[in-house]
Amino acid sequence: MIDTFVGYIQAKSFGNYYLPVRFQNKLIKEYSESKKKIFTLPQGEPYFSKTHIRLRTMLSKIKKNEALVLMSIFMFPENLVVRNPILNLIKKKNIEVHFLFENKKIIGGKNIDIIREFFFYNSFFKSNKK
Amino acid sequence: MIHRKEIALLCNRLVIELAIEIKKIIKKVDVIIDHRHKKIDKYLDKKMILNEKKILKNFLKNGYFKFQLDKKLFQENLKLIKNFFLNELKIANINLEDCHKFTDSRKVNGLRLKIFNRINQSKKIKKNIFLSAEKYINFAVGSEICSSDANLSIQLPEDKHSLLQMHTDFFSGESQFQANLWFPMMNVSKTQSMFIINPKNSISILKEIKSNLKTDFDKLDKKYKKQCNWIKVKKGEAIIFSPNCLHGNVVNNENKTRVSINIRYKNLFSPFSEAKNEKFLGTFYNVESMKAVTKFNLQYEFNKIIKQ
Repeated sequence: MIDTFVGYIQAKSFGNYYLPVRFQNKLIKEYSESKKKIFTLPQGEPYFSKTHIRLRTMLSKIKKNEALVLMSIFMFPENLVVRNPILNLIKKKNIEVHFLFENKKIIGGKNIDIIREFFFYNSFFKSNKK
Repeated sequence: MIHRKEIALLCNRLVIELAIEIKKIIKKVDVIIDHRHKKIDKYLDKKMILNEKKILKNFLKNGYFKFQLDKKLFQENLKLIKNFFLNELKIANINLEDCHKFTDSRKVNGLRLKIFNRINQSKKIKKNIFLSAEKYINFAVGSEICSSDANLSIQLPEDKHSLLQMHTDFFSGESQFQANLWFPMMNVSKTQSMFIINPKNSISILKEIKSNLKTDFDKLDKKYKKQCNWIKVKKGEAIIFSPNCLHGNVVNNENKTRVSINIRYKNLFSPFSEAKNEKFLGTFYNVESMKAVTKFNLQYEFNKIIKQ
């Protein structure tokens, strides 16, 4: 039973979006309260890190009663070498992840493909723009 | 028989002579006092230079320095902040170390936010904080300064929800040229306090954070546990540290709560980070002090003349 939401934030653009961290914090807090879950202080990714080290750390120690909450699917790494181990961890530990902008939720391996799809469509539009 | 006129003249002369003598004595005393003052000033100057050298050496080596806050201003703030706790918790008296007896990990962030707002609404508290450490803040970042809000931390014993794992403040795009003033409201040591890793070691760990795919923060915590310097700070003392050095906290394993305040100070003219985030002047930093020439140029837009 999930009773705690663990927030993850980024101080850089994700996909087509950019949102200052204080508003990311606020949205995660309000979302946690609306779902009647315990809010824990969100952890931020070092903006210069190329490996999503904070996200990997959070996922590796997340507990069964906790779910990860973040703004967008596009906060996940675009680079497959970095993204795949993260998705494997979500599957393996059956982690629940909430994406606020896309209004999507994944639970472990269930519907995890939406992440790949979102990145695929985004890259398609990006190549069209060029 | 001496004539009345002669007596008057004699008296007059005596008074004049006496006045001249008094003037001479005053001059001599002035010279002595001046000399004493000069000696005292010279001594104080020498002492300040020595302290600055010592402080700088500590800062460059360890990433922080410790000092005594102005006692009166610290006590005044402590009283005001304690009152906020009493009002929010609706109790008659509290020792801030015992906060955990009146709240729990579920409610503590709500309490923290309420008191954080009240602290930052009070001009007096922020001013007191600045004045209580002004000399040291100026030493660290100069005298034209901008500052962040006053952040409040409440670290209850065994609370796992308010942790700040090893980090630097520029992770989230804050300026690398800022200094953090940090002080607890009680004596703190070990896990009730905060840790900092010296600049040399921080840089080598940051290189791992940047590009090592095989590591994560838990592994780094274990690997570099011995390099964490837990700072012992007494009530009324403070530290100024460079938040470029890795720092953070762990679960508070002591049986006392830590209530602490931190404020970021930055020189008005030092560079901002290149990261795209909101931490700029006006959103994250507010002007704390400005000198005459800066005010002058704000009032008269001479800079527009030279712009193409």
